[in-house]
Amino acid sequence: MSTILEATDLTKHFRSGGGLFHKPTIVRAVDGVSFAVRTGETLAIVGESGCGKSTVGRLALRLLEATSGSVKFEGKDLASMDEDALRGLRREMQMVFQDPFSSLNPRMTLGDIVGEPLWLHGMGSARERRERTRELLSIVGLRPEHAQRYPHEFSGGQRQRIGIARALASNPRLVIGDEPVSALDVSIQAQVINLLEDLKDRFSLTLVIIAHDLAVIRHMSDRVIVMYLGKIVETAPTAALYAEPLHPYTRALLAAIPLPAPGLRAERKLLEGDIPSPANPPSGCRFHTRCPFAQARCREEEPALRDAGGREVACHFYETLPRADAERAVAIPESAAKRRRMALYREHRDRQESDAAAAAPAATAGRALEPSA
Amino acid sequence: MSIALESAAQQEAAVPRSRFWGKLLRNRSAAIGLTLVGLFLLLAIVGPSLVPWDPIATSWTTVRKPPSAAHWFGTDELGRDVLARVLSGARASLTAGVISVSIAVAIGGPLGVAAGYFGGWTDTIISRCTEALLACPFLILAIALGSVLGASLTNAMIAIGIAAAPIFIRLTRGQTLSVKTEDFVEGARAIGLPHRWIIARYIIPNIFAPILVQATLIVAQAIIAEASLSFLGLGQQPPAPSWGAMLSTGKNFVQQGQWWMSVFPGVAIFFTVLGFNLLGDGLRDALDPRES
Ligand SMILES: Nc1ncnc2c1ncn2[C@@H]1O[C@H](COP(=O)(O)OP(=O)(O)OP(=O)(O)O)[C@@H](O)[C@H]1O
Ligand code: SF4
Ligand SMILES: [Mg+2]
Repeated sequence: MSTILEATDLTKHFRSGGGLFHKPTIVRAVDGVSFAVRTGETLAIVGESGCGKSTVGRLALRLLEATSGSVKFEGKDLASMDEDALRGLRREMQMVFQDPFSSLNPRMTLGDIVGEPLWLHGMGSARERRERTRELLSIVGLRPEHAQRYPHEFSGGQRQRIGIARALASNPRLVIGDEPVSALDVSIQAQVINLLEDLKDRFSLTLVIIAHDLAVIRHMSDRVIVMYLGKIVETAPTAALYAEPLHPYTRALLAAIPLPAPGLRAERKLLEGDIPSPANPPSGCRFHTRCPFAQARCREEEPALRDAGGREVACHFYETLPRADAERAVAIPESAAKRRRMALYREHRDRQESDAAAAAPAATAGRALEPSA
Repeated sequence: MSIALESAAQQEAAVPRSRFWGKLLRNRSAAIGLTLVGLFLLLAIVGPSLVPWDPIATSWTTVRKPPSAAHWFGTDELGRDVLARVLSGARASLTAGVISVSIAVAIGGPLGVAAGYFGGWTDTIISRCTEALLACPFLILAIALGSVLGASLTNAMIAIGIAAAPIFIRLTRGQTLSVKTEDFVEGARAIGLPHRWIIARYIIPNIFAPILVQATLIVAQAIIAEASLSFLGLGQQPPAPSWGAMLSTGKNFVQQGQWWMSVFPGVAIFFTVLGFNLLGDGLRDALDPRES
């Protein structure tokens, strides 16, 4: 598989405060992060709030200038591009935001919101763009007639669909979702995730999904990157990660997922202590203040990200730690329910499309997707 | 059934565009404000032709006469009809209020948006100058500028406009900063929209409402400022009437019990300012899309 996006040694330091008499604090939001996104995969970036996930996403799209390090999209270095080249490239890379209430311009209609990227990139005539806009709305499960309406008339889940339609408008190849569902009700989360997976297949997208826990991305991602305080602590294929998390932090994250089956409900081991501030990260292994396996060496020496057989781990002692409670991870089966759900969803979508094709006013389009909250 | 419920809810959510006026008129203070402003506007336009007296022609036979059937508001020290002068003074006052605020918005708006949107040095320079100007009270600044520019109504409007500009710089800058942090602005950058377009379509429409509200409120202050400048002889020049100038002359005669020369223009100023203030408050509520 080829690499679509490659980040090398990305670092972002934010300066905050400071003035005449005191030094500004430097927040090391992202500190030497390297990863590659393979064409066609779904890559998840997971970590607690404040660990720098969003910053990584923004750096990857060059919405922020990196303090150091580079990002390459298909081998082209983003940092060396001028505005015009970057604009062309931004057709290919899109972002879906976390908060559906602040990610849409309240003063623009849905039609303008979704059609704007088409206009920007000069795709088609005004008429064709209008057509395409309506089509995009129905692809994400909204009614084309809604093009005249404003975002505040829609629910959170519907707004996230609008955001997705806008992201899709320019036919991107890479979509970065920054916690695209964490602001939504649990029942609606599943629908939006289904939609994303479905669109990924239909439009051969590469997805990078940012999430703050491991529950959401379990079924949709191929690989997972786990971050802690601005650094990658583990990367692994999803199945392997859930079967046997190697890094103590990954174990803690996994233990924090509520179990679906009552028989498996072990007591939930949550991490002790607060996340240290990224302005003043702990010495050595950044996780040592909360790690149940920490030893003297962990305070002094920073563990490098090491190869661990098809995956990578940054822990001095991962080989010798007691085996993780793999049984519970395995016991969350390849969900049959999920397969059924997807099948139902696809069936629904096909029905909806054949309805639309029959030129009937798209009366049912999209509504079945979203029960009122 | 939840499906049916949702679609019904969506149907209801369709709000007509005329919602703004409905909301504005349902708001009592806004309705009163709008009526007052409208009334004074109407008076400024057609008022002078409603009274049989010339606001400028002097008459030695009717000097300082109290209100009567012929002269409802009495006459002034040169025998001119006070009602006629209040009516044609409305034109000077309203024009001064509206034009000087337009000048202030035209100067302050772009500077504030530039400072807030671009940040960095642009912001530092603009903000420091604004702070320095804001340290000086608005009215004092307007009077100082007015005396530098020279006495005339046009110069008074320019002076008031410049003096009020920092208020709008600070407001637009703050509003721009807060809109800029919304994801949709970052999203606009993410798809590669040019800055000009982002400012025109994303920033300005979202900061427009508070600025319009503020502008309405500042019109009231500008009318007072114009009155003050005229009062000091820096605004409307005699013999053309303005409320401030009338107040200025009228005050000399209050001690002698000839109250009508100053009370009527004073009352006119009071109601116009009140009207703009009420309208501003009402607009604030009516323009908020999240409030129904
Ligand atoms: N513009 C900024 N200026 C200063 N500090 C920032 C800025 N953006 C982020 N940070 C800091 O950088 C760190 C990482 O932020 P980031 O938003 O990337 O975290 P995150 O993992 O996305 O968290 P969340 O789950 O809360 O979204 C945080 O400590 C945050 O306070
Ligand atoms: S290096 Fe030490 S502190 Fe860090 S995760 Fe491994 S055992 Fe824990
Ligand atoms: Mg985030």
